[in-house]
Amino acid sequence: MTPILECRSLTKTYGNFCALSDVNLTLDRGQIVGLLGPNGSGKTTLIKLINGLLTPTSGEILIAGDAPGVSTKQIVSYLPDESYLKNGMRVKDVIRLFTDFYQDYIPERTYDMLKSLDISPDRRLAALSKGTREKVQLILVMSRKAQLYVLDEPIAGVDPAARDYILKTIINNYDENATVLLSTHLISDIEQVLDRVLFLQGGHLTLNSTVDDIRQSHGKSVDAFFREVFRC
Amino acid sequence: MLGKLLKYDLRSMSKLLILLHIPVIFLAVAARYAGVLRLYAFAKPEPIAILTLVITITYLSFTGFFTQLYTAIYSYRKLFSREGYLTFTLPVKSSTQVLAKFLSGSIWVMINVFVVFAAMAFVIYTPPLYEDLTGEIARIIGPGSACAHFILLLFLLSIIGCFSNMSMALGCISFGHCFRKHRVLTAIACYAGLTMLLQIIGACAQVFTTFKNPSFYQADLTFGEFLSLYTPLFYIILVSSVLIGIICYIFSCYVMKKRLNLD
Repeated sequence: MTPILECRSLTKTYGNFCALSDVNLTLDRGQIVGLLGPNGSGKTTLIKLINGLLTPTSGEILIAGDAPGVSTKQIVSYLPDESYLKNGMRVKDVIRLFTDFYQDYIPERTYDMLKSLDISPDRRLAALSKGTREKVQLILVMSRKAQLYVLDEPIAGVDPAARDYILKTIINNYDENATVLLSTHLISDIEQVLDRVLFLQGGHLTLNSTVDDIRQSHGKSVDAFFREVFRC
Repeated sequence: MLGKLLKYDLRSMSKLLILLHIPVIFLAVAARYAGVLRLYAFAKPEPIAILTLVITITYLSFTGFFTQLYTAIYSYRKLFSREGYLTFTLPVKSSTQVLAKFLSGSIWVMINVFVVFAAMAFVIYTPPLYEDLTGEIARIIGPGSACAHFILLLFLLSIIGCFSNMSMALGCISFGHCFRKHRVLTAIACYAGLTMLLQIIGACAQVFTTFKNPSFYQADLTFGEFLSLYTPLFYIILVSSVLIGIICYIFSCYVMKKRLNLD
């Protein structure tokens, strides 16, 4: 089966600054992958390249064998690290928009999750707190039956109780053949759900390993290992 | 997908632009009855009538300026601000996104032109004026007259102008996006540059037309002859606008496809 994500000598520069340098990576389907690295390591750049929001300087990126385009956008569900929905919209307007454009979107899932969180679909996004808005965005993204979920800092900026809810939402809603790629700094919170981790440092991919391998070969948790590798 | 995009874009734009155009109805009524008809009734300059007309004309001009500005800002926000994360992750070709923004913006600019023309016609075309000028107007814009051709050309220029202006706005926004910093400023400078280029082309064509036709200097030149001499000038401006519009549109599609970098 074609890997869900392939990067071949992927490089992205901004002027003289190299955000990603010669990244080679292959991700198979059916796993939850943590994209970890300090600030400015290139996590968001890689995520934007996957979603076609940035153009690579050199190299190529393939999603299920295709370069980012209409076909890949049909199978990738993306959660950016900031609010990307127009504040004036009501939650039900966004649900309608997702229903209109994404064939794999299941609105019933969204309504169920909104009900469990006691969020009215009639409310405007501007009237929601930052944390609630983030939850709504995650619910929308996870209500798709995508092949690749790309979540940029899904648990940053929310309280620990909300983090648990978000992680539960991710685990409960992704298909076992789908892949979840999520970036975060809060490793200890997500470590229990990860199958694999990628370490990015200064735009270079320095580690691509399963969580079990790290625990066995280094005798420590991913969080402890991360702190050791990226010690300032 | 184009239909869906258009539906969302038009609905989103309409919220503010409909509100902007509602006062035009009231102002047109006021300008007709408290302006033009009052001037006829008093048969001399009348402060209230003049004030009403000035306010109406100013507001009509403002709607034109604001509609163009708003459609450009709307497109910028949808394509290149944080809202672009949603725009460009929808399973739609980037060229379709450009087309949707181009059409929705052009449609609103065109609606504005029609509303302004209709309002002006309603204000000016009052019975006294109609009675005074019926014969004159029929003579000027009657079938086969130079003026009728000229008016048709002006109408065509206005319609094409709606599309080429929107295309220019998209092209300039896209040009600004090619830079790392001062993107908005670059887009504004680019728009000013292109507008200036069109004016230079118009001015050159005017000089050329004037020199080519010595009859311009004749004192007994009729209005119809004058318009006939000026018609080629408008064709040159028309063709230039279309060409720049097409180039800007193709450039926008290229940037969205090959140079997209949402920071």
